[in-house]
Amino acid sequence: MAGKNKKEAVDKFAGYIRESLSSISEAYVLVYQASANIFKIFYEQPVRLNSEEGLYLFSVVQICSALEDAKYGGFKATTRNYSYTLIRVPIEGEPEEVLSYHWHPDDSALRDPHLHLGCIPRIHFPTSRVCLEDVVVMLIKYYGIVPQLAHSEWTRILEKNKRAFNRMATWK
Amino acid sequence: MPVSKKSKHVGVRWIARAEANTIVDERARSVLGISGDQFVADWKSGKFRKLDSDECPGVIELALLAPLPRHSSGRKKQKRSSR
Repeated sequence: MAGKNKKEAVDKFAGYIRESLSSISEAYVLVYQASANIFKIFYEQPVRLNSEEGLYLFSVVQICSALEDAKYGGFKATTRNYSYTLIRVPIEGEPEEVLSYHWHPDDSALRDPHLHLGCIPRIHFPTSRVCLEDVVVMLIKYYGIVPQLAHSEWTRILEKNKRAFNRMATWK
Repeated sequence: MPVSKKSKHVGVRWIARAEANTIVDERARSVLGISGDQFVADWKSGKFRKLDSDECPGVIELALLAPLPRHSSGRKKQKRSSR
C-alpha cells in the first residue's frame, strides 16, 4: 500500500488487514514500528472465533517494510513475513494447532511460504504467497466461522482487498 | 448467517516499544515459559534454530514479534527470483 510517508503507507496497509479481519472478529489490530523501515502488525492475543463446530483461536502476525518507491510517488508498504494460525479449542483437553500458513524468510532455514497441518506434523507443505483474504474466506467456508458482517459486506470487503493484493503484490 | 449485521469499524492501534516488549514477554512466558529477554538471548545463541511450530506451537509468531536480528539463522540471504 502506498502513502506520502511511511506512517501513511503502513496505516493504509494495516487498514486493509484490519478491514479484512473485521469479517470474522471485532478485535483490535496492533501496529508497532520495530525499526526505521520495519513495522509489525498483529493481534495482541489470538482471537476467539465462534464456529458451528466449536471454538477456535486465530493468530495473525504480519511484518511489512515501508520504503520509498518512485512508482507510487511516496512510500510503499510491502509484506516481509506472515503467520496465520488456526487453533482448535476442544471442550476437554489442550488446544491444538489445526494449520499455520507461514512465510518467515529471515529467521528460518526455510525461506519459502509453506503450510503446517497439525494432523501431519513435521511436513512443510510448499505454497505460493497466501493472502489473508483467502485465509479468512477459508475459515468461513470450511471451518464454519461465524462472520461478524452481513454476507454482502464481508464478501465485498474480501473481494476488494484481494484485488488490491493482486494489484500491489510484487510476487506470488 | 447474520444478514442483518452492518459494517463495523474495528481499530488499528499503534503501540510503543515498551508495550510491544510487554507483549513479547507475555508470549514468551506463555509459549516457552521464559521471559522475552531470555527468548531473545537464547535465539541469538542458536538455541531455537531448529525449533518449529510443530514441536512448539506459537514459537514462529513469537519469533516474528520479538526484536530479533534479521538473518539470525546464519544462512546466506538469497535473492528471490523475479519469475
